[in-house]
Amino acid sequence: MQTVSADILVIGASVASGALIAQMRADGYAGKVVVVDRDPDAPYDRPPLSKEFLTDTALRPQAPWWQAGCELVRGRATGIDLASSTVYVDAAGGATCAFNAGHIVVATGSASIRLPGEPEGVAHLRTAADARRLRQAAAPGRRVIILGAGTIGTELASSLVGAGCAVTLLDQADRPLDRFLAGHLGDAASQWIRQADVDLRLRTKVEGISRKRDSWTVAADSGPIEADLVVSALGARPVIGWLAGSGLDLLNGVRCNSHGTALDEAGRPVANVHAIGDVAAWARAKGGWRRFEDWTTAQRQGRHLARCLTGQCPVAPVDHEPAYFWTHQFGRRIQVLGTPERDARLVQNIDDPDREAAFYTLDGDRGPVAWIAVNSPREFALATRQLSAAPR
Amino acid sequence: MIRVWVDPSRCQGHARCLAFAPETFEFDDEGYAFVPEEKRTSERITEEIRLAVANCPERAIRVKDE
Repeated sequence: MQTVSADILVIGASVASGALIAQMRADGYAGKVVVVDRDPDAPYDRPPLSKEFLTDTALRPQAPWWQAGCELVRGRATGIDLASSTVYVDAAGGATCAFNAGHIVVATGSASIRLPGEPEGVAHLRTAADARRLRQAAAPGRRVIILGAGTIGTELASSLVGAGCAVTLLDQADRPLDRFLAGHLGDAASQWIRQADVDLRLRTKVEGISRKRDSWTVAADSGPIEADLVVSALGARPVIGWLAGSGLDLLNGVRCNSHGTALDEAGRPVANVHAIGDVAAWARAKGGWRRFEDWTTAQRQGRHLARCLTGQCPVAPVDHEPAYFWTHQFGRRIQVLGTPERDARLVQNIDDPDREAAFYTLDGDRGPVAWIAVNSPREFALATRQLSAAPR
Repeated sequence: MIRVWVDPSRCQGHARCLAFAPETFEFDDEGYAFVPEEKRTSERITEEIRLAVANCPERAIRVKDE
């Protein structure tokens, strides 16, 4: 078996690892960095995949955050040995290689959740290849069923109705974007989805999916629905299968301390193994662990870990800045600053139906916990500025 | 000297630059970011500007060494 040595080995060419490498190089790090990714299209930016990329003609979204300064190897990581600091990789060429490194950074991201017994051919939206397949399938007049009315499902519904498809959007929850907005704005979101002629069916359970040649049937508890294409957008799970049995704590992603160093099953840090991005659950200042699946957290974790690896003072505590997430759908740009909470009180500050604009504050027990802007970038900028100027 | 500005064709109003480098960035009536003329040139790139560049999802912030 071929053995490759590196100072730093990164598994996954993502925005998190791009930020890690950019920061290390900016800080003058000169060691050898090798990145392994199984996706032949990597690196590329993921947020556009469910948005403008679906109506674009580019082969893959650009990756402006990626720069040279590493060696990119195509292959699939199959296992890790903590003691010898080695990752085993099935290279794209067919050979099995052992990568030995001073530090291993796990950035394998997340993959689509699959339904139990999901038949072959159900579409997903995770990779550039998935998005290209959907783009091709999205012809005018085609009937598409989307399972899951989260951010990906709703963005996809928006893009597909825009392409002329007849879209049915199913979710078990009683409102769309339930997790993203912590249950808030369900009626408003239902309205803007339905106004675009999407057949939104809430409180709907899927009991089975079957296919006869090119015709699909989704058996919902409310009855069968037929379509030319079924897309599953039920959420993501961390890609940790290849780490099973390694001794790392994999309860929900790779559990890490507050600086991104992985913990073993006994809760001790494994000094040479780290995790960033969707796959990582870093310890939080207020206690506990949490996995994030957003672009902003991913790149912030990458930079933070870079500083730790080069022995410099970290950029800032990772959960010091409030979270930021955005979605673009049905002619609405929705921006969320902070972390929405279910029991927070929604206060509407702006309501301008002509512009389809609204601005909300979510008030918790000790002041606002999140700000939500719909087509209100000015108010959002103002809130961001006020928050960054406020003492913490 | 370095020069910092926002490419208006890329900015989508995410306002991340206002969160990371509020001393450098301003926003217009529509919520899009810009760097006021008097703040466009400086001796060196600050950590705040570096973070703003890194955090811009549209990569709209331009920095040029002059």
